[in-house]
Amino acid sequence: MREDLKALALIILWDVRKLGRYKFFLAMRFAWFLLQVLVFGLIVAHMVSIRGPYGPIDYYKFYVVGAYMAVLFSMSIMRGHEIVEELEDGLIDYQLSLPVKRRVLAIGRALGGGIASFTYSLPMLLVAVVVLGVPSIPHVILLAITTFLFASGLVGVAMSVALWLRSGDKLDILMGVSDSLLVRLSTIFYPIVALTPIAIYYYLAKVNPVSHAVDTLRVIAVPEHASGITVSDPLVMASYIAGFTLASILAAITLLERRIEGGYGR
Amino acid sequence: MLGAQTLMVAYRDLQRFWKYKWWLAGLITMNLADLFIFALVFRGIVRRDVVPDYFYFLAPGIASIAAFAAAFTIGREVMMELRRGFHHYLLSLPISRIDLVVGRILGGVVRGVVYQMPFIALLVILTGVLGPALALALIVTIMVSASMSSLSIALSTAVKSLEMQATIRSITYFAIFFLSNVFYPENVLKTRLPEPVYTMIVNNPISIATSIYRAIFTPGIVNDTHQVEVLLAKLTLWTITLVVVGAILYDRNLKN
Repeated sequence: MREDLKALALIILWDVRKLGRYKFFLAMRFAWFLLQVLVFGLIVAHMVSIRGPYGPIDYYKFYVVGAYMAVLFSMSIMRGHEIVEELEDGLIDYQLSLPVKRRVLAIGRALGGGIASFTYSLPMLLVAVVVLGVPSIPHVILLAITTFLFASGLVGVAMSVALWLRSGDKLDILMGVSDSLLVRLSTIFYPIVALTPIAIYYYLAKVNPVSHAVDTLRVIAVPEHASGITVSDPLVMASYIAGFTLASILAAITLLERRIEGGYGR
Repeated sequence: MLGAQTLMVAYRDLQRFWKYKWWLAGLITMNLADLFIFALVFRGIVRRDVVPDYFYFLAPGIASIAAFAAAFTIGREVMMELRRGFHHYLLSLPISRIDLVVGRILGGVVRGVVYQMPFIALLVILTGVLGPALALALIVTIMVSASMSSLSIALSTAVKSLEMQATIRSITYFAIFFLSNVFYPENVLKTRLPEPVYTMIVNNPISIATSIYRAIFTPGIVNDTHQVEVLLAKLTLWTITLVVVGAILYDRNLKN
């Protein structure tokens, strides 16, 4: 057990240490986020009029949380591309040859990826915290925990898909398509009440884990603006995120244990 | 100037465009999702006094963005070629330098036009607009693609560091994307932004192209009172300026 924990810490550290490679990517994402928050969100907030059960919704605050989630989502999903590159370079084969249990390896990669994605998104989270006026430090800590948990789940999904497909081209297409669809078919840009006129979009957004994660962040960051407009009850949403993360890491473990043999592309 | 060699260079760039399957799949999905999910949902929450029908408001903007994004890809290739020294091979071919420079810009134009065509077809289906107006739409597409293709080539030759170039290109892309009238009507921009920022946004080539597409396909969707002739003159000016700047910078980099 102690050996496993030590190995887990090393794998997490290995993933986190790659952070420095992506400073330009981070700069691009930060610019995108600032434009979303300072231009798009501000202007669109004056065009939109939407009421929740307890009165009008402050769309700007609603949107800032959504923009942050969109960044976190794309940063976490990007880990799938890394995994495929590592498969192509034989790095995964090397990692499998290490005296580390595959289960530990999968958990370590998911958690390490989650920490890395969360760390990339920290500048945006700080901007969001300031813009939203998050009420207290415990709220910020809760935001960070939720974000990290969900990012780990997303990395688990990205890993699973990458290990399942084992093809850079297929993964790129799937990720590109799912990035566009999962973000738009969620409550990132609009509250769930806005989706009710289009039943199919409404039900897809209801089951989309991204909706649960972004609405949980809203409940924590701006509780006074989130009541009555979330996709579900806060406890249900928190359980949904926990379940999603657990399931995605389990899927990654299973795939890593069963499907990795044979090397890349065979 | 548009000789067979220029066309060959442009054709090569078009062929290479299909190589980016993942990028194309993502872009097509994003453009369609913006229209058939984002715009449809937003139609229900945007105030009717601001935009009576957000779906029809956004559709011409998506066509602009489509041409812009496709034409802009040429800069990335130019960037990679300069970095890898592939331009030395291109220069060794029995093609004059002017053919090569014009061909690259034309390659971006062809990408923009080809990628945007299905979106124009979609606009035709949605609005029922046919006839000579479509020729005007094609001219606008060619101009916006030429200006964005040249801008992207110019940016790709601006600095030596690959990462820095990619960052500058992405930030420019986002700035043009969000600081345009694609997502918001100009009367809202006018009341919410300082005058210089508003002027900059409405005179951005993508905004100009979007306004012309709106005048063609969805006239009266918002109360933006533009004269198409003035918009065309502005877009022509942008196109000439950016094509000249892009060509000079690319040529300078080929020489060095």
